[in-house]
This record gives sequence, C-alpha cells and structure tokens, in this order.
Amino acid sequence: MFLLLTTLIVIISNLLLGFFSYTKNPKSATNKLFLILTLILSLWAVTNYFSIQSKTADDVFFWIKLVLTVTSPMVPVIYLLTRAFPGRTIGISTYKLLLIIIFILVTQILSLSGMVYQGVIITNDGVTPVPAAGIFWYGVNIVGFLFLTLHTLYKKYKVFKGLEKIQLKYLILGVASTFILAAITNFVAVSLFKVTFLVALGPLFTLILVGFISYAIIKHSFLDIGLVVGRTVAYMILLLTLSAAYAGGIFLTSSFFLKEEIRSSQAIIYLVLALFIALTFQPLKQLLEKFSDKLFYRGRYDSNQLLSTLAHIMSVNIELHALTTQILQTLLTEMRISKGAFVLKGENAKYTTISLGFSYQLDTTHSQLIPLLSTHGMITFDELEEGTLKEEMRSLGISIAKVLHVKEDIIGFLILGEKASGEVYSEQDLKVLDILAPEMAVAMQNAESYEKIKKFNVILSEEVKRATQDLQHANFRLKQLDQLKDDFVSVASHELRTPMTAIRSYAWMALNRPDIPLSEKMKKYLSRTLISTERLINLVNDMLNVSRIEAGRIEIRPQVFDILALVNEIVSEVEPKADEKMVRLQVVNTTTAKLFADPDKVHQVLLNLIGNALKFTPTDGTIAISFFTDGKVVEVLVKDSGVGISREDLSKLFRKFERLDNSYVAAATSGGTGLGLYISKSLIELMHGRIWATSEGLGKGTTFAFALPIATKEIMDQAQKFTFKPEGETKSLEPVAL
Amino acid sequence: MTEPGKKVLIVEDDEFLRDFYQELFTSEGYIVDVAADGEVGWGKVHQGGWNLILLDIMLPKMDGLHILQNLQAQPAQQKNGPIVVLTNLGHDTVINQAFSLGATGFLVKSSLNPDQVLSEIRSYLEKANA
Repeated sequence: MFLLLTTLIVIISNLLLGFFSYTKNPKSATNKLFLILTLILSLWAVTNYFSIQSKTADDVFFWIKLVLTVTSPMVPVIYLLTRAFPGRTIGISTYKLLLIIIFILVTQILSLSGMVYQGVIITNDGVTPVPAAGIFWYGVNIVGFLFLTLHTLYKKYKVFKGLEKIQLKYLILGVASTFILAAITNFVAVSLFKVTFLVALGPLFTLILVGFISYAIIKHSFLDIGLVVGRTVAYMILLLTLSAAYAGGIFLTSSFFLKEEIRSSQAIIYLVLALFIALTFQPLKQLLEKFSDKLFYRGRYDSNQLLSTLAHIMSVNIELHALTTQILQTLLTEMRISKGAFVLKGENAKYTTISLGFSYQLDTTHSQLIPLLSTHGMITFDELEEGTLKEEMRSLGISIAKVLHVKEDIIGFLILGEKASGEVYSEQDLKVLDILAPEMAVAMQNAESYEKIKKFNVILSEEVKRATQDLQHANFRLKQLDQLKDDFVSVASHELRTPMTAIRSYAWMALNRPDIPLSEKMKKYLSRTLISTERLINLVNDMLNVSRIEAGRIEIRPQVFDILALVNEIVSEVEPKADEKMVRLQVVNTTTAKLFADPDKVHQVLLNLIGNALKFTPTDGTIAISFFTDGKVVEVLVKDSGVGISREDLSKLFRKFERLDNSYVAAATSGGTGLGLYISKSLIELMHGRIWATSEGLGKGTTFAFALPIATKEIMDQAQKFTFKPEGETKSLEPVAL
Repeated sequence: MTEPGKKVLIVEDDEFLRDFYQELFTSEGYIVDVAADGEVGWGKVHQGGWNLILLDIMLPKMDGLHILQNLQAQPAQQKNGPIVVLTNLGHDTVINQAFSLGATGFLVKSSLNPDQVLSEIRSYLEKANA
C-alpha cells in the first residue's frame, strides 16, 4: 500500500512538473528534455512497482527487463538536459545526437533481450537478478553519461552568473543526490552486493530531484513555471477542501436529516457529481458570457487590445498626419464610431483639423466648444442640458469632445461623433478615452515638434546653402582680383622697364663713350639722369618683390651655409661703393656655427642693411658687422656710426613706405624706396628668423640685427618647416642695387 | 678684345633698345643684324649661321617662345650659337619655358648697364667656343 501510494505520488508529481514546464515553453530544448525526463521517471516508478509486486520469477524478470529498458535513456537525457540548460537548444551536433540515440537504442535492445540481466534467482531474501555480459554496457551507459553530465555541470557552473547559477546549483544538487542514491540502491547494491530490497526505494529518490526542482521553481523561477505550479497547487487544495466539505455534508445530511444509510458507492457518486458541478461552473459561465455577448452586444471589444494597438501606432509614427489618421481609423473601427477628428492647436491660436468622416472643416473660431473644453476637459453631448452649446454639438454631429493636454499645455482636442449603433458611449469607452488622452497628447506633441524640427532643418540647410554660395562667390571674386593685381603688377613693371632700360642705356652710353665729347655740366646732368633711372628701376623691383612676397609667391629653399663667408662676399661686393663714400667696412671675423636658411634671401637682406647703413653713415664713418650666438641662433649685427634713430621712429622702421620722419625734406634726401626694410623683415620671418634695430639715439648710430636658426640636428629634422614652396607660380626676387 | 667677325642677331621690337644694342655691339666689332618682329626674326633665326642670338620674348606677330618652338621642329639651315633670351618680364615661368625650349641663358634688360651687357655677351661667346 505504501509502495503504491509513493509510486502514485512520484508519477503524478513528475508528470505534473514535466507537463507544466513543457507547456510553459514548448519550443525550448530545456523544457522538452525536462518533460522527457519526467516521463522516464514516471515510467521507471511504474515498472519498478510492478517488478516488486510480481509473484513469479518470469514476471519479475519481465518487469526488470522493462525497468532496464525504460531507464536506458535516463542518464543520457539528463546529460542532454544539462547541456541544454537553460537555453533553447542542446548545443550538440546532429551527428553526436544521433550517436547518443543509437547508443540508447542498443542499450534498450540489450536490456530487453536479456543480455544485461539474463534471469532472476529467487532466494529467501527475495529476488536477485543475474547479470550477464551486457551489464558492462549498461554500466558504461550509466557511469559514462553521469561523468559527462557532471563535467558539463561543472563547466557551466564556473561560467554562469546570478540567477542562472542559483538555478543550476539546485539542478546539480537534485541530479547528483538522486542519482547517486538511486544508482546505489538499484544498481550497485543489486549487482555487487546482491541486495535487492533497496530497489523499491529507487524511484523514491526522484522525489529528491522533484523537491530540489520545486524549490528552484518556487524560489528562483526555475523554468519559469512558478505561477502555474502555484495556481495548480491552490487548485488542488481547493479540490481537496471541496471534496472534504461535500463528503462531510453528505455524511451529515444522510446521518442526521434523512435518517438513511447511504451506501459508500452512492456517497462517492454524489461527491463526484458535486465536485463536477463546482468545478465546471466557472468555465461554463465564461462560455455563456462570450456567447451572449456575441449575440446581443455587438460593440464589444477588448480594451486592452485596443490600447495596446494604439500604443503601438503611437510609438511607430512620428509624422503627424500618419499618426492622427491611423489613430482615428483604429478608434473609429474598434469602438464603432461614425466619425472622429483631431483639432490641433497651432501657432497663434490657429487650429488645424484632421478628420475622418466629418465632411467639413470644424470652424473653431466661433465655437463655444473650445473655451469650455479648456476648462472642463471633456464634454459629452448626452450629459449637456439644452442650450446653445448642445445645439452646436448637435448640428456638428459631435458626441464627445475631449481635451488633449501635456502638463499645462493644451495640444488640441479629440472630437468624436455618434457611435455607429446609435448607442451611448459606455463606461468602458469613456475609460479607454481617459487612458488614451494623455498618451495621444504626448504623441501629438512629439509629432508637432518633429514637424518643427524638419521645417527648421530645411530652412537651415537652405540658409547654409545660400551662405556657402555667397562665400564661394566672394572667394571667387577675391581670387580674380588677386590674379588681376598680380597680372597688373607684372605687366606694369614690364611695361615700365622697357623705357627705363632705354633711358639708362643711352644715358650710360652718353656718359661713358669716349667718342662723345661732353661738357662738365652735361656730364652732371646725364649722371643724375642715370642715377634717377637706376632709382626708378630699383623702386619697380622693390614693388615687384613686395607684391610677390605678399602673394606668397617667393620660395624659400633653406641650406646649410656659413654666414661669415656670405658676409665677406657681400662686403667685397659693396666695397667699391663704400670706398667712394670713404666709409670703412669692418667684419668681426668670428667663426660661427652654420646656419640653416636660404642664402639668396639672406644675401638680399644683408645688401639692404649694409646699403642702408652706407646711406646714413657720413664720410669717414664705420660700418661694423659682428656676430653673436646663443647656441640656437646666430645674430648678425650691422652697426653704423651714422645719424641714429629716435625711439619713436624705431618702431616705424619695418613698415611699408615708412620714412624716418614725416618731413618731406628728409624724405627727398634719404633716398631708398622705403620698402627695403619691409622686404628684409618679410624675408627673415619667412625663414623663421627675427629682425630688429636699436639705436642709442639721434647722432649715435644705429644697429640693425637679424637672427637665424643654427643648423642643429633638431632644426634639420624639421627641415620641412623651414622650406616654403608656394602653390601655383613661384617667382624669384628682383635684384635691388645699392 | 673680342674676336672680330662674330655674327650676332638681335630680335627686339622696341626701336630704341634695338638701335642701342646694334650700336653697342657694332662698336665692339661684332657683325650685327636685327629683326623688329617675330616673323622676320624667325626667318633670320631659321637661316642660321649666328654665333649668338639675343631673343626678346614679347614680339609682335610671333613671340620669342614660338620662335624657339619652331626652331625645335625645324632646325636652322645653318647651325646657330647660343640663344640668349632678352626680357624685362618678371615671370620665372617664362624663363623656364625658354630654357626647356632650348635657350641657353637670359638677360634682364633693365638691370644691366651697357658694359655689363657686353661682358655677359662675351662670356656666352667664350662658353660657346669652349
């Protein structure tokens, strides 16, 4: 009796668990395998029971064979279950799966054909099965797959985290304890120790597994069937309670009120009937409700479904028109309303109407509805008293008007016409509208914002396009003007040069040809003509140079060179002129490090500085060129003993066309173009150098100096920085004579 | 002193400059011929036989670069000496073009005094002899 009960409990609980888990998630491999496992366990309980109850040796043997057959797939299924847990697939190749299935089948065939146990011996203690050769195969099945299972569980346990890990823990515990115990009682004890009475306990141990799994289900949502199981248990308890109550009732009634003996069979029939009625009442009621609704209540709809459909529409549409039309369509169709409209508040209190079914634009300017709505939130036609408002709503065919607002802002209104069936709006309808209104308001607001953003984007991109075009235009004009200027300067200078060449050449010829006799006066005149022409040519060259430097057309090609050598070269160039003026040129012969700069440009700068010095140094003066270095740069100083420069004038020195003072007298005699220093400064700075001037004051001479980088390794590594190649045309500097 | 008998061709459109160069070189003992425009200039260049040609770029009818180009396509009937470009233009590109078309050197007219012109000519002729 005890055995029967326990067997039944095992079977029912296993099957229930398996069934619930399968229905919860039929597609998942985990749930499927779990169902299969519970089926196997139930079958095991059944066959085990019968094997114990059998009287004859043949019967016992028969059932034992069945036990073996039924339990052959048990551990492999557990293995597959642990591989799958908790996912939807087993994660094993079809090939391997096939192998496992074949293995199971072979085990079953061996079991059935008596190759695992070949018979039974009845002893005083009970029945002992006799092992055969195939028992090793069976043992391999159990032990082998058990090891695989434990290995898989161990691997997963290491990797899993959180809830899954907890669930896995219980699964492991359940599996491990159940099968170790079961293996001991049903297999090891039987085979090795010939102890059979423990076999009955085998299926019982599955209750341990059931227990752990149940705990995992309840506490840790294992297989997510907690709710279902809970409900089932409650249902069962209800059943039991009802049964007990009815049984008690019948007994009492029969004993005390009817004074009749009721036969137990009758009592049972009454009990069953009563339970039947009790349990079928609810489902029947629902069925009848559905039926009568279908017949009499045409307008029925599922509000949850409607709300979820509308929520979906609102989440999917951002474009205002599509949003409003779809909402209206759904609302009107589901709730069977004749017509509806959205009246949306736009800029400057203007309203736009998007309607479905209303055949005219709702004139919102004169409507009483709008202001009233703003205060009331919702106006229903049926609830109004007769008056102008009701008249208005009647003529417009409006049954319900509802405000849509987000916090304090009114977005617009929802206007609904009559229901198609002519009925009043039900509680359900109004509730749905109540829920919908704020959602719709937000959705509309978003759609409107989106419209605004789109419009703004279009305007913005138009503006940007326009501005870009303007800029491109301006840029093009600038380029044109720049080119024009370049062309003008080049052509003009060329044109100027032709007559200047003629003047210069003829004046020179006149002065220097021995076959042309000249008076002293003539010589003076011609000499001054020649000098003036030369000045003119220098001016044109200077202006060309300035124009080219400013246009970035001058190339800087730095080299490593010796500044001292260059200075000496220039000094010998200039010596004749200096001798003429009787000015001494001195070079302080210090060996310095080599510079990294463009020697041609430096040549030009030196010529300019020395030339200036010569101009402003009186007869018998000295021009001294010295050097100074700090390891990074070399400074070249050109010191003259000339007229000197006042402090304020010093600051004006390196500008274009600047003179030392504003007096026209000085300008006339100082000579030079006023551009020389500007050009020198530009050139030095293009070579990443520095140029400056110092003077003790008027009458105390001036020192012009520039500094250029030494050709250190650092500098050479960045040679690129010091080179300058203009894009487009490169022009060279025109020579400017002293 | 220069070697007498050297034949120099001057192609220059400005009358004053042309006359000036002619006078200058003749007084130095060169045999000088002139051309006032590109067409005449081309004719004389193509004829050939010049020890030195001074070629202006800006010329009417055919500019100096075209003359050089044509010379490449149709070499002179008699061999010519070096061709020196005379220019007042500030364009390096033009000068580079002239070089790539076969010019040997260039002189910037406005920057040279007559004695400097003569010494330049002398050095070109000497180089040609070498």
